[in-house]
Amino acid sequence: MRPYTAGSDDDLLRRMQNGDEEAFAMIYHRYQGGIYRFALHMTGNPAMAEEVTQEVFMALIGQPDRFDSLKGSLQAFLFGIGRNHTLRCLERERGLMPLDAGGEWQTHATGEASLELLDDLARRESVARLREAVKSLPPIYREVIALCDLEEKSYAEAAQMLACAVGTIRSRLHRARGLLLAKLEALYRAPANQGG
Amino acid sequence: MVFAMTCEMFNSIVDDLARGGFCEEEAEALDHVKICPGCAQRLAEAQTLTLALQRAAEAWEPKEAPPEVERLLLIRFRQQRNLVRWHRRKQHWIMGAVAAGIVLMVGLSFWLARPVPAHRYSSPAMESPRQPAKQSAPPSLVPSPAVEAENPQPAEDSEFLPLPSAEDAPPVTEEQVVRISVPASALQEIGFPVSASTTSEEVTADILIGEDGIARGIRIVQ
Repeated sequence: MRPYTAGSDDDLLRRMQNGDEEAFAMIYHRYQGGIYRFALHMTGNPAMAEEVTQEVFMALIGQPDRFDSLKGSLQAFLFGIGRNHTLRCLERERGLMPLDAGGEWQTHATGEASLELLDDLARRESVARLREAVKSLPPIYREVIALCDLEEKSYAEAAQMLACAVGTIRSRLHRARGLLLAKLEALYRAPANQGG
Repeated sequence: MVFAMTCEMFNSIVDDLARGGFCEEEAEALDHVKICPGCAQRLAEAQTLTLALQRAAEAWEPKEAPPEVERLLLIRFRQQRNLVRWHRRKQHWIMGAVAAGIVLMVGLSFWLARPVPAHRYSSPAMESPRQPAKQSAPPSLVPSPAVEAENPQPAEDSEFLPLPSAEDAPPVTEEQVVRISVPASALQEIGFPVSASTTSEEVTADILIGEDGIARGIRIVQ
């Protein structure tokens, strides 16, 4: 793969607006991976993640003037578009699911089952189960898990991408992780219940 | 005085500790874990979850959009670029056409409003047989009796009118008169009043040509 690293975002965007195809390709290679993975972690669907990635850069091609560097970074701008498209895809797929449905969920409580859960999580085959649990989280919690835990973004970066305060990210992540552990416990117990 | 952390406080920072992020109360939190099995368990879970999520992220394929997406986007980029360029070119053409129209209109108005010197190309040889009253007579497309008699000489009763193409031509010492036949529409183009119904008719005229071959004036014969 070609090394797409040269040039600041502003410089590349200016060149792109003047018709420089290579500048557009550099912007694409700089951000497509993160946007694609975010959409994939949110939807669990590679086709949908492709669609989101394509829509994000189509929007950049069609209306590059919409980006204002005074309001934030190009990364945050692109992620904002990607996030909106992702949420729309999820709504289209599952109907109008309320984005703050996490209030109905039981959070994790430390107990004996957690010890078995920890053993299970330590095994490689638990990855699929973990993905299933992440996918089942309400979108506002899923997106902080996707950004902060799966993409390992800092609270500040995630706050910029999701256009909210750092404190909001921190509290959402805390709740999301609690929900995730609870979900994992439920998934862990499910085969035993079915069998017994 | 030693700061004592409560389980509630520990619970609010456990994810920061597990994710390895910056945490001001880290030392106090680790002291608390030593004396609180519940919080120790909670920290272990959070750390394991962090590890499991990292592993899941590493194993989550594909990590990037397929090359087909880039190919489609580059096609779209080229289409958009061509569209923008075409719009810019169209704007330039429109602006150029408007500017040319304005220049043409201004030039035409100046040309139509210019003063026409009546005797510029009248040579002494030609002026001598003329009657003073007839020298100031305006050119006309009405045939003169002399022309009707097929005699070119009476046409000299009217004077030559300067041609616009010879305005900047140098003065001449020798001139020659050539009789020609031209469409009335050609006379209209150089400023003669010709009615719309007669533009297709042929008109006989004398052309005054200088020694340099440049036509200086015109005189309507018929």
